[in-house]
Amino acid sequence: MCLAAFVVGARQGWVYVRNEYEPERQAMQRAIADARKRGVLGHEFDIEVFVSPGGYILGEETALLEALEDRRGEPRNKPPYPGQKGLWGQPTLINNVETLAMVPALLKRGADWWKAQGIRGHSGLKFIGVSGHVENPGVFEIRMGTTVAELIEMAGGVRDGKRLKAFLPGGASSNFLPAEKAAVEIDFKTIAEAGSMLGAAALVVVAEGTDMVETATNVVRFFRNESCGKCVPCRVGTEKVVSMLEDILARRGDGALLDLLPDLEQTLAETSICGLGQVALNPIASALRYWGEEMNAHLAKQSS
Amino acid sequence: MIKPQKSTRIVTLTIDGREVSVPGGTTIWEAAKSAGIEIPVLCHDPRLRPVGVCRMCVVDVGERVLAASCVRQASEGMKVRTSSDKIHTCRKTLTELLLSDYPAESRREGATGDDMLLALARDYGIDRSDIAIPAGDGRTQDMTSPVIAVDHAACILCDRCIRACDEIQHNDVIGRTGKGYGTRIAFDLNAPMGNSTCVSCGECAAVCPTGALTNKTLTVQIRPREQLKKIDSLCPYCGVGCAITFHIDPDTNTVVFAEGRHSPGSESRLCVKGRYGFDYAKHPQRLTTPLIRREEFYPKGPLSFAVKGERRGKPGGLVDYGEVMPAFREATWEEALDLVASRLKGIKQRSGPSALAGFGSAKCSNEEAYLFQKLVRAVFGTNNVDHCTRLCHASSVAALLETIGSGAVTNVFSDVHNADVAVVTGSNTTANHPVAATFIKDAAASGTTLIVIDSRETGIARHAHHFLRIEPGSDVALYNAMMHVLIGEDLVNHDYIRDFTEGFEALRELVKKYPPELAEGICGVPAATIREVARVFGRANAAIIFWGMGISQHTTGTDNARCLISLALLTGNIGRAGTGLHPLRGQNNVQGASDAGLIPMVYPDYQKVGEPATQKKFEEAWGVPLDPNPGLTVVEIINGALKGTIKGMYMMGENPFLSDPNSNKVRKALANLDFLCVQDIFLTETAEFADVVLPATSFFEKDGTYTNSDRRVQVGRTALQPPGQARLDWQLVCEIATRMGYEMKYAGAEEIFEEFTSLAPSYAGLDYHNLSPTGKLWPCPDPASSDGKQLLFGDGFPTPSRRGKFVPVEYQPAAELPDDEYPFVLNTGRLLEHWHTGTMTRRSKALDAIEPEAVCELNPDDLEAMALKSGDYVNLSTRRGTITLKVRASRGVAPGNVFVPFHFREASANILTNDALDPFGKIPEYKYCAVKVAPAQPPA
Ligand code: SF4
Ligand code: SF4
Ligand code: SF4
Ligand code: FES
Repeated sequence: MCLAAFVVGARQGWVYVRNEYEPERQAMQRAIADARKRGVLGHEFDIEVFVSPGGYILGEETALLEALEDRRGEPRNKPPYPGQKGLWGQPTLINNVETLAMVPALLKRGADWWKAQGIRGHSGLKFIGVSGHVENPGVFEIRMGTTVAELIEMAGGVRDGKRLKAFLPGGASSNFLPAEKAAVEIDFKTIAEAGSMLGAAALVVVAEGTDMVETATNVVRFFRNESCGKCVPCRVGTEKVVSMLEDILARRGDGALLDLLPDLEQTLAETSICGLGQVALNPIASALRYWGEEMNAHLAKQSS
Repeated sequence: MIKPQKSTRIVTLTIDGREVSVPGGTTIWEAAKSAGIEIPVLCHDPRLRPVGVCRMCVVDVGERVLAASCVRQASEGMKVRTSSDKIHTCRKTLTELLLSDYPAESRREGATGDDMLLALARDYGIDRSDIAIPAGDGRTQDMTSPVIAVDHAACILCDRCIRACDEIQHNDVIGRTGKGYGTRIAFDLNAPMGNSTCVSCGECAAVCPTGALTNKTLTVQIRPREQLKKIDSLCPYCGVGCAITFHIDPDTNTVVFAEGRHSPGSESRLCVKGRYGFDYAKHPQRLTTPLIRREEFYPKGPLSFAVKGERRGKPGGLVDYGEVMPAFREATWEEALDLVASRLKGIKQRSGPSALAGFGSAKCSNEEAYLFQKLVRAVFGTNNVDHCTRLCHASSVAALLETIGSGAVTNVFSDVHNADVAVVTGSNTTANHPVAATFIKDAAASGTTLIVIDSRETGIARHAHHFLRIEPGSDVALYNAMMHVLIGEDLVNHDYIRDFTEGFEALRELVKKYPPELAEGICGVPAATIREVARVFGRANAAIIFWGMGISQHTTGTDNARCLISLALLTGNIGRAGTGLHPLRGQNNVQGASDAGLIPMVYPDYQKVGEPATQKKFEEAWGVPLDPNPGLTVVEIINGALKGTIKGMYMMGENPFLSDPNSNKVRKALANLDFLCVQDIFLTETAEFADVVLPATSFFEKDGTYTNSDRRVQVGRTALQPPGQARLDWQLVCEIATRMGYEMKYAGAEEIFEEFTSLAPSYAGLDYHNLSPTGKLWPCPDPASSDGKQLLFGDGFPTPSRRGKFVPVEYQPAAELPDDEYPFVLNTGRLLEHWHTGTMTRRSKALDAIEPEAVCELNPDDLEAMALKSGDYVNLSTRRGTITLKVRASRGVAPGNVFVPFHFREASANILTNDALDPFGKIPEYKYCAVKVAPAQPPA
């Protein structure tokens, strides 16, 4: 972070920590105190820890800036991007802690070393959070190019010895991919080519026997709950889709959703202010793409 | 409002295949509009900072996703498509999403009929019954505000109301609460609107695109504008002079609703009075027939309990006509006018012209004021003509005339945004000049350092960077100390002092005696703060000074104003952008009524009585010899009535019983008059003493020009027909003049204005044509191409030496100081919702609903010490009288002080006030006298 500040000429930095991450905050604070004592911080550059008031949306960089400025955590319209007009209207560099943490090693050991960390022609290392139906969920540092199947094995395999049904390679907002695609090599480009995205680098594993409509509903519900409510498509669109899905699951729905979904998906993707709304319907749309028959089975059970 | 900065850089982009060049910083939406391409919007309004939340305005700029054109800036070479299948689908889907939760009946569609969401639905051919998206749970309504209906179900969270409240009016009431789909607009911390800090300015309802915030119907049911008659006119209340469009129902002859209209002075903003206080004109108590006092009701005296000074029955605003009307009988116009003319003429013949006097009013138009003073001067034959300006800014004007040779403001209030520092002193601006206050608050939010000086912590103080709470009546000490610091620390403008002023030495010597430590002991402001604020003021490149009655309504009012003028002269803060002296004028036509000559010592345009050349000019114009002696002022005339030297009076629209100090004395004086003619729209407290009452027209029923605090001359237009036999004020003046033997005849207000401007050089060149639609600032040498002169005196002053004069003054305490018997200090003033003696506002449904009864304010600590709480009754007594009214706890009032608004006839503040006068301005000391507070029983 000091290096980043040096490069852009910043005098003040902030580390933004969610309020749930108390031990991490303490560790960070100790490290800052130590750096100040050793004269690294506090002269040309200093760092402050900002404990997030909470909310998934505050991970969106401009919503994060709004929260730092003591306002409602709602994303800004972009452009201007933070690099042009960020905190208090000043140009602001925003990076993930992971990115910043990689920089010293890269500088010290060189680009060749970094490239050599990848396999199958990919370069570098990546932290991936693995969750869902695996034996040992957690954060894994992998070589870029590792396949999803390999990563699932690293996490102890699919839970209860079941077979893999589906996975989200890049967290809730990425498209579901079916088990057949588990051989995909993990890197931004390859996963995109497979029809999803590496996104937040959080692999969610779904075992066989899971109802994909229910699973996808759950993910859309998550976005509905985390929508900040600033823009119409996301605020209203996520709620309406969730309510229609819940109706279907409760056997009191109808097929209207299937007709409406393409327009809704397009509208949310094209007109939402931030990434949350833009991708909020990806899970249900991709689930229907691969497991449409599960939806049909639900629809057949409607009471109306 | 934060305005996006436009640069001089030009960018060229292509919109729908057309090349468009716009200044850098222009949004795509604006660029498209300039090229005649309309892009639909919901959340955007050109008056507001764009926020881009509804997404209706999306366009294709060839990026990954569509862009919201209302916030996206145009850039060089950008290729924009404003329509495509994709865009259409998105806009239509957004509309359907919003409609799915929309109430079946939109309150806006059912009233003004301009619901923007339903209009979009029509554009997209959406049939609401076809929408397959399920409806959400119904949301609540909030009907607690007397003027605005809130229907959360119709709220699309476009944020317009929030921005209007925060950034146009700076009232900061509305925000969003909740998250995601549960988000709602909220007032304060989610209070019902009627219980919130909302000041009912109505700006939010004016900008809301849906049925969520709508105006409640106050007269006849609100209907679409096209079904009503539109009259571009003005607000009848304060000196801000906001431009208004009244929407009239011709069938019922009623104002249905009012809207802000664009004008440089008000930028479409209004306050609660202007937006909702129009219905008084239709009140059933309007006078419709001439009235003559019945024989049995002589000798004259007060008729109603309140005016008699008795405390009976329930407190309430309006006079009971049952109490007063039996004293009068209806008469024909012939009989009434003949009687007025013959009685006035009789007094003139018996006792001489100086036994007559007239009170005009700052509520009347320039034309009426001009004609009225002409009547008194040319027909009565005396200069005993004055009006309520005497009671508000006479001292300011006296000081201004003495020092810089002109009583008018040197700059307009909206220029505050060019000031580095603004001083607001003795002005409860947010209540008394609410729309002017919006400009000051706006400046304070965007870089101007605001210094507020007052004995009360009023609404504007909340926006101040420095708030100085001074002891009442100690102004001179504070300002002398500030000048002490400015001179001592060499923060004065030597070039300016050398080139444009005189008398600096004397000032320097005098203020030497006022080190901040000494002033601290008098005014209560810590010496360090005085120094700091003096430095802030002294270092400003441009500083502007606003003041109100807190400066002028003292026996030292002229001295107070002299100090403020010296401050500005010392630092060279006159005549440039962002600088100036601005005494905020109270009534809608204070400036104009004074300009037109309703002042005993000057003819129209401040031409002095007693100067032979001037006298000759007016004698020639009016064709009669004129009295060379200046006349008496308001309080002097009342004293004359008491003594019997003034015997006959004609009052046009004034209500001195409630507005003049020491009402008990006024009561005797009015009863003592041989003859009193009152011309008004209601039977006022003063009219109870009248021999003849003439039913006149309200603001809404006549044409006329009015000059606001900025010197902006604007035209008010006839919106309603007068009730019954009520007649135009100027016609009544003509009738009386003619019947007294001086023929007066005009075709209309326009012709009177012509005569007035021909005699008033400051108004030269102005006429009804070039004053439309938004008026002109006088002087306006070139009305065809200019808005008039905004800045005055950049190159010297209209004084014989062309210099501004320093008039050093010593601090003097107020006339009546607190003592053991009367330990509190009484301060009087106004409330946001009411106007002066309440004649209009208490007959206005909405305004009366917000503040229905007399109240006074005390500091909660004082209340606690007396075991009183808000809502209890107290007796307030001074050496002149006692009133009983409810008390309200207010931290804004300092311990040891009592604040009483003077609007309430049932507990008239002026029973208490002291009629001691400022020796120069002859203004009474409304802002200071000694009072005692005692618990009282609620009225039976
Ligand atoms: S109340 Fe009206 S203006 Fe305010 S957010 Fe809702 S729709 Fe917009
Ligand atoms: S009426 Fe005025 S003060 Fe009240 S909420 Fe609306 S904008 Fe704000
Ligand atoms: S600020 Fe004054 S002129 Fe404007 S609407 Fe209010 S009362 Fe009327
Ligand atoms: S009008 Fe542009 S987003 Fe609402």
